Amino acid sequence: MGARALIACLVITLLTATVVTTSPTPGHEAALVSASPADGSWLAAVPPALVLVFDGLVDPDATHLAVTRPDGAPAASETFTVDGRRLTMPLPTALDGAYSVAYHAVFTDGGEASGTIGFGIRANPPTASAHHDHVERSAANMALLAIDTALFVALLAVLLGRSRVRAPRRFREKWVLRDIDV
Amino acid sequence: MALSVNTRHHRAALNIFMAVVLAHWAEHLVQAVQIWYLGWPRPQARGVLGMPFPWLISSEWLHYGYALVMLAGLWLLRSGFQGSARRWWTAALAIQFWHHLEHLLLLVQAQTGHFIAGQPVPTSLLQLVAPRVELHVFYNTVVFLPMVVAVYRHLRPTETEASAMTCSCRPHKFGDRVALASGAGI
Repeated sequence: MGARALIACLVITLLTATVVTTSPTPGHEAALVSASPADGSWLAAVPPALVLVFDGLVDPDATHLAVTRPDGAPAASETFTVDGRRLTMPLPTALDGAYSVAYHAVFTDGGEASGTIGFGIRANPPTASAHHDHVERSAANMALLAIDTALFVALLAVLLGRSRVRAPRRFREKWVLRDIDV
Repeated sequence: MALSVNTRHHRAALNIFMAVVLAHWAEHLVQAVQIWYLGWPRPQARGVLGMPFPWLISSEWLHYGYALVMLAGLWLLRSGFQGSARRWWTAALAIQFWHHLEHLLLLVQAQTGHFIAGQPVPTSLLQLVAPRVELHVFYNTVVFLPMVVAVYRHLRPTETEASAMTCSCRPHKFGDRVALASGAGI
């Protein structure tokens, strides 16, 4: 198999996987939809409760949740309430610093979701987000992704083409000839 | 040590490495489509691999592993490049070296649970002055840009650059110096 055929196969495989995985399918794996406080956020005061919302019905008997305070101690007892897809845990402590939330949610359809999120308490919270996402709707991000899309297409075109000698730039020849005339 | 990946197998190795790079960008672009065009909620917009393996998207090991693969590929394939293409490739390598250190810092924080500057989540140095989302895409872009220029200049060399090339990317009109070079163990 030639190099170009190999790359073409890889591209077709990638596109197929993209189409398959971006098609909405019933019964997709449940996951965390939202968290309050949000992952990576800084707050001026401790909220009354931690709220996690999943896109599946949570089984309270098989689900675990642990919040760790900045000093490493548990932030609250591990008791929480479940209302369908919503999980709520009271947060009585008010210690400044970084809090860590570890969850292992089991859903009534047998699915599971686990992960760790963090938030911080500070009198004057910083404005910069520390969120662990890779795509966000901002002008800078969209501009970068537009550049990357163009580079992506350009690289594909270069790789799929046959290796060949690059012609010298015309303006160089033109300037060289002009210099000679002078 | 003879590295045939920089002589008779350079084109194949470069193709594989570029396929990995393109797949990584496809992940980001697919995730952008899922969020902005399809309107999926953020936790469900996990790109391609993140759909069957949701834990991947938040794994510091995955991000560090990719940064390491990038660094290794840039370093391993550098000798095969000649002329201006090598300069661009080296620029990508230098930027990726710093990018890799940032990911190493994130990984250590994620593993130890101790975060720098009192942050609530693993935080890189430049993230202290710029949001992580923009920073991550920016880092990858500034590595990707010189890499694409290097590959273009390597696969479309000038006459002078082509005459100095000893790898399988060399245009055919310059004859089969590749076999000689690989035999010499370059």
